[in-house]
Amino acid sequence: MRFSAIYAIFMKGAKEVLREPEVIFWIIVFPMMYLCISTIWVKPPSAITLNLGVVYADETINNYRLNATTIVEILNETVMDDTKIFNIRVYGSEVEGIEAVRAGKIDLCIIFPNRFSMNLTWGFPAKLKVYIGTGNMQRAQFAEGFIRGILSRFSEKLALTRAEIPVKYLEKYPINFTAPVNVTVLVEAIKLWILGLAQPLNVTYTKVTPKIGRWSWEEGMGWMTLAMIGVMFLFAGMLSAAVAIAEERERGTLRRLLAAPISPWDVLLGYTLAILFEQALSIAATVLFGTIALHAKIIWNPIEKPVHILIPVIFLLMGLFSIGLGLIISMFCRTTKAAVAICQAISWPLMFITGITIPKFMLPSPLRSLADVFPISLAIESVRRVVVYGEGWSAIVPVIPYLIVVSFTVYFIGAIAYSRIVAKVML
Amino acid sequence: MTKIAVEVKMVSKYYGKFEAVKNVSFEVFEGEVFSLLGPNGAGKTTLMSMIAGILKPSSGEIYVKGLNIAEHSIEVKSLIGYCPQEPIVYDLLTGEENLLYYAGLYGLPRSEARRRARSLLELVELKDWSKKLVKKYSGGMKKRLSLAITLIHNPEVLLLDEPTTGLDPGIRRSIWSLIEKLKSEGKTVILATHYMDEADILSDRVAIMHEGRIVALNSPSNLKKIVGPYSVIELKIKRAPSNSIEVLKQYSETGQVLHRNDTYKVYTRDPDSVLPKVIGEVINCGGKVVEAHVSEPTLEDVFLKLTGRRLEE
Repeated sequence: MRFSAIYAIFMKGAKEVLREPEVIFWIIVFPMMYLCISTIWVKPPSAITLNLGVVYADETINNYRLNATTIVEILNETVMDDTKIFNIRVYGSEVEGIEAVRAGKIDLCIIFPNRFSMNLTWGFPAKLKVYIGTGNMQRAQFAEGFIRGILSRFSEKLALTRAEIPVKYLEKYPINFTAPVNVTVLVEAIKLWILGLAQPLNVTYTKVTPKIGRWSWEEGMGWMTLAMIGVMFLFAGMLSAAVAIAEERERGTLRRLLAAPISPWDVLLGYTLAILFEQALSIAATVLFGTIALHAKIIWNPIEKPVHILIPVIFLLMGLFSIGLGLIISMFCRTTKAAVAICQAISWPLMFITGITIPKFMLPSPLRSLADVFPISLAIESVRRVVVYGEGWSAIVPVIPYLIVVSFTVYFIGAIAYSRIVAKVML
Repeated sequence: MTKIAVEVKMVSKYYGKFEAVKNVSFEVFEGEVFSLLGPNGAGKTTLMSMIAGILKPSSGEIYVKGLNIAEHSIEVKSLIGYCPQEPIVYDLLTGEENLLYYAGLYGLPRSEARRRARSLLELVELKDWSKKLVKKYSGGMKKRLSLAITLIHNPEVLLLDEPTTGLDPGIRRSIWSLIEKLKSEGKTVILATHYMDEADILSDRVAIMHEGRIVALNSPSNLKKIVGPYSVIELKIKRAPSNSIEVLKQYSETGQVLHRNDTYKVYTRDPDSVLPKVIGEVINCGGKVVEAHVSEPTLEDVFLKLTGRRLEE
């Protein structure tokens, strides 16, 4: 093994990386571009504003304090993430309101029929009509969801308020029973029964933020930044190895290398180091851009958290894995063009189906199984758990043996493929 | 006594059933320029690759400076500077970086590598281009840089495979003078070429290769004697009649007429009397002789004599 030769090949590879615009695009510009684009779906969806038409056909509206306008005021004041949900317009008749829905001018229209306010106040069933436009299915779903939710909450509140009236009477004027009953227990039971009439189900809803799926901006960008590192292993790592060998073979310099007093393994080692350098450069650029420009949450502090020492080890293993894949591919390519085409044909689908750029839970079941065994997905996911979600050794240690075995096996097969290429040249 | 630099003993190379090099043997002496002359496909590059240690012979042995290449591959490779037909330069490195890269492959210390790179860039007249990326170089410049790379580790034996192919005459001549300079420095040069003038001018000895065999090996002047005591009448004919070769053969004492494009060669002992006759015959047949001259035989004529074919066939 000649170290000066390995160093020379490494330096040549490193210089070529820095001077080749296409390589710079794939390892630095592409991850940045993708991260910028990913901000679209990492950002939580902003609240939608719906156009709501209101028709007051109720002639009793001015006779009662609790009337149709009470509901409209509630709707008018309903906000989500500081955004008003309803933009309200008043129409003169039911026909006008329906026409406006049909024309797509408004998303939905509420008709308050005659005697609505009276029925509401007197405790009779107060009917109202809601027309929802279905021109835009997404807005229609929002409209239906919001109006159902708000009206049912209003209805429930009103029922509870009404039910509390007899309950208060029961408390103020206790009933004297002649029968041998426990009056206190009975009264409590009657009170609960009345409340139960108003609220048959008493459901408690608590919001739980999942680790993946609904995330903070910082975590989301951290997730995506790691995704781009995974993509880089697929593209830059695999492609660089395949192209490096195919290129040397295509332009005849591999023959010239073999005429030098070095072994083919010196060449392989030199190239491996050069590609690992390229990957390190890409990781550094992606993480810096993600954390500085897009505020991605990636915390790497091996002094405070010793588990972080394993992160570069994982990246090194993935580097070897991707180089091994590239070497295997190069065995089937006589030209650089073929190497690029095959690598891209493999990398593009893997980018989307292995849980690297699309969360695993969103994938169909067979692809989830693939993501469970694909080394880059496993590696990226465990790194995410540590540097984005702050987990400890348990997130990363269990996958290390698998990654070591797979990476070294693939790199070893790649080295055999490379030796076959060399043997072919020397035959 | 002249020492042997390279010894090729009964070397053959098979690709499946195809025999690219057939039982070839020769010796190259230290300090000589030895040419392998032959058309494309004659087996020159295969033979050069085997001497360079890139290809393994199917049979036979090769010794460089007394070392068997099969047993001392690394040592032998250090003694050889191999310049293949295609440029061996990397476009995204500068001229100097290319030289330093190859210097690294040969294990040259950094300071020595820099010193040699500077002097070689001067030798191949690329000093002003040393800091520019090779992708900006012309084909001729790349070839010159390739030659400089071949010399970076100061090898004792140089293997130059078609060093001037595809280059314009001016650059060819500059590469020839470079090879002459290397010879004057005592380097042993093995040159593979299909240009007979290149082999003729540069070589001490020429091995003529045809279909994987060496069909003749001698100095250029001795090889020309194979053609016989003939002079060559070279005619350039326009509107040549279809039977021109048959007509001219009557006057060629070797019974052969060399024909390329509109040029015909006739071999005769008595050019003074034959020349007017052949011109008259061509005119009678409806052709127009636009140029005619008498010269001595070349290596191409030797090749024709030996193989019945032209060098560029």
